[in-house]
Amino acid sequence: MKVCVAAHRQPVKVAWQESRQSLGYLSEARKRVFLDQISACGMAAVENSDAPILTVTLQVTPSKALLIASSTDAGSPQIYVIEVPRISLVVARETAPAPQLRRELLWQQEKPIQSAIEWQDPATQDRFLFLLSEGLFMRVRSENSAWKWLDSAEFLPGGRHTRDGEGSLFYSHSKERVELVLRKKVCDLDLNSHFSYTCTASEVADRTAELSSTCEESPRYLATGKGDFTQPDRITLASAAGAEAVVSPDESYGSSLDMPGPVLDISVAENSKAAAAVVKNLSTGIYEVYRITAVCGN
Amino acid sequence: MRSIESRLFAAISLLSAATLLTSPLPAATHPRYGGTLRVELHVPSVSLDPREWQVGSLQSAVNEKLAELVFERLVALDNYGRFQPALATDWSHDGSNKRWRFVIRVGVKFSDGSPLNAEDVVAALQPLLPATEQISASGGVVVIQSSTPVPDLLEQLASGRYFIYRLASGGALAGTGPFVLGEAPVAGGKSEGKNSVASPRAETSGSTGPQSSGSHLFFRSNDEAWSGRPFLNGIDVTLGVPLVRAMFDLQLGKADLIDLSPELVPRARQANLRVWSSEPVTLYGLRFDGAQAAASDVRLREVLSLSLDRGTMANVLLQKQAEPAAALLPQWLSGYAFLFGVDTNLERAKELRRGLPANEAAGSQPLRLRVDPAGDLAKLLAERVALNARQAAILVQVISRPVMRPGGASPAPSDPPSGVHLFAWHYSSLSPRSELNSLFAAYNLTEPSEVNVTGTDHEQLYARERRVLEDRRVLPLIVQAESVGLGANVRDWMPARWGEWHLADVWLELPEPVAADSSNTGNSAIQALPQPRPVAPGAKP
Repeated sequence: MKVCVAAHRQPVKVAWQESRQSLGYLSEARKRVFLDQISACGMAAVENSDAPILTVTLQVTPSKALLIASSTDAGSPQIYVIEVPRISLVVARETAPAPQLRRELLWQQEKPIQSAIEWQDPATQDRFLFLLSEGLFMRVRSENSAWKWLDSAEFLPGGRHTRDGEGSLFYSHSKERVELVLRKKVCDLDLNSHFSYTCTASEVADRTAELSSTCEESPRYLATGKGDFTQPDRITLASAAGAEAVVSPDESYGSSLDMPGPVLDISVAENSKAAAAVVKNLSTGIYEVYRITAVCGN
Repeated sequence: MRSIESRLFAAISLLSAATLLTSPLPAATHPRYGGTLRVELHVPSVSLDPREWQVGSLQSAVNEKLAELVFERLVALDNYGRFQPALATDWSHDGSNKRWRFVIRVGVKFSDGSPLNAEDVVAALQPLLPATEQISASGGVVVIQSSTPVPDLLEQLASGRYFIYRLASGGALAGTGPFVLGEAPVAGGKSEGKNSVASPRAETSGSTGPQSSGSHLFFRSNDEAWSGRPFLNGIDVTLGVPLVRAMFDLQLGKADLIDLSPELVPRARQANLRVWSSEPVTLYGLRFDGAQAAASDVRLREVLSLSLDRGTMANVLLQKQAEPAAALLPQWLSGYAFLFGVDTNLERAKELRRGLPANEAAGSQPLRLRVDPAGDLAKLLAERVALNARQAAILVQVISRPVMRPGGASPAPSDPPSGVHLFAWHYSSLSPRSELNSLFAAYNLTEPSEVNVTGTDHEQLYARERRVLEDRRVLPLIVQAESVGLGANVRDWMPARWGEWHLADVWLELPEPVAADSSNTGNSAIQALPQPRPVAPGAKP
């Protein structure tokens, strides 16, 4: 702990320099501790733009985390360093809000649902839920916090329910639109007038359910269990997609959700903040659509 | 302090968690025992005696990597910044950070069968510690008493040459590490013969001879290691292999681990070889001495500094396998190197040069630049320095004569005096204070007389570096990473980012499991051993 005798209180404007290393560490509370420290060295943080700038950054060495404040006032560079064990950085991150999965029932019906996706019309701000169910493309709209059936149209029969799915909905970020996958072929949906679609020759690449949260810089990936359609499933937040995905010990509980039946399909909404999971409830036999989000809790 | 049991539990928990993989994700592959890791190194010889190592030398980098196979330190630093117990199970210090107390692990045996005790630790560390630090033993406890505060003693003891060894009969050194320098077995269980190991003492006693040079070193697994038997049966190290040949051997599957020079890294990547690079661990720079009057002129040193194009050196000469250096310690070690700026300004250099005597470092009196390290890279850098200097009207004559000692080398009497040296410095300590002290001592950089008693450690280090750099007695040029090429079958390669290889954690993905045969060293045998290795420090970066 630094102890300084303040000769005079010099005003400084503190510029916090965020880096990848400091994300999740430079909380307001920690900044306050640092400001108290430099205050003991005679500096007072002010918002006055005329005051000399004190740049503060977090640097990490093999064993230490260093809060380094540097100032070039009067032409002579001066630095002030507060050292903390690097392990405290890890602890800080571990205790920082971690994303937790939450689910919310959006829709349920007796008829099988193959796929579902939420979508917000950027023009009208109306929120829709699109469903594929037994050869029908269905639209429901959110009105007064309730979903109301809007219309439906036929599309080619999807066949049996498989996790790969012969029919599935997904949001294409490159085309900025919801698209349909039929037997692995990408089909462009036309939702402006009467429902129609045009399938292209291109095959869809392996999709990942990439979900973002407000408490993490990098997105996480939703993954499902290994069971067949006779077993309840679990949705998990993983750190990487595909073959790289591994559920770490601290991710295995808080960041997973037990579902009431097999997860048949997951489609992420256009904002990447929510996903729609289609589940067959094994207790009731009803098909349900859940909104899955990663929220930041303690 | 975490116990070994808790670490083992953590390892088991981690393994359990690894089974929570989700579809369509494949299950993680569990480590397998067996096989021989074939290592090819460029250096012609190594020394496994820490007392002989020259701090900062390029040679010491290889020595440390091989020594960590047979020796251990009191503590280790993992990649999360946590100190882990090694041969010390517990430690504490007084409020002034001058008196440190280490509890020595019980039940540890050296490779010659003798038990480790606190006196062994004292005997090993005494010749290595600075004069300001006194070490003593009492029961199972070792005490290090320093005349000055050493808040970073753990960083110091977790790195560099601070290995624990026992001086065995005949001058050989015995260690407690996961491997033992010994004879290489061959198929059928017979020894390859005494030529397989350089040191005759090592062959007979299982301990490590002080100097090992020659074509091969074989490290066999230490089944009695307290930390658990390593996964590999052995490590076969071939020394003196030309770099290009080693890369071909890696491509052909004749080697599993090779060192790569900077110019070979892009080629290796193009050939789809696995390449790993450390943090920058070697500094190349210029240092001045009073052998030539021109070198004593601070204005001339400033002109030379402003003329240096470090970006071209790092990005072109070293093909982006290095970074321009503005500080003596690298950013990853000091944390403050970013505060120093690279001050290249050729126009300003020319302007300053015009104010200097025209005959200084010109005409028949060039500034002589001696290249201290051996190898083409150092010579190449020196020639680039001469080229840059010429653009600022400073005549630099490059004198290539490799010398072994990093700081104390003196030219032969017939050599003309050199006012500037190109040096290479390998960072070996995880303590920035210790590293800077070593560097200052090696190159006779004057210590500041005043001590800022109110500043924290890093503030003092920064101030000391700044004074030396502002005086331009030393001009950092580049910092270079170490790179290795890895075979596709090398698994759990989890080195420390500062360059330790951690080969005890490595295992080999071998083609076919066959009946266990401990004498078989070919890479076709996988042994099923009951005792897993506990979690090692530095694992899981």
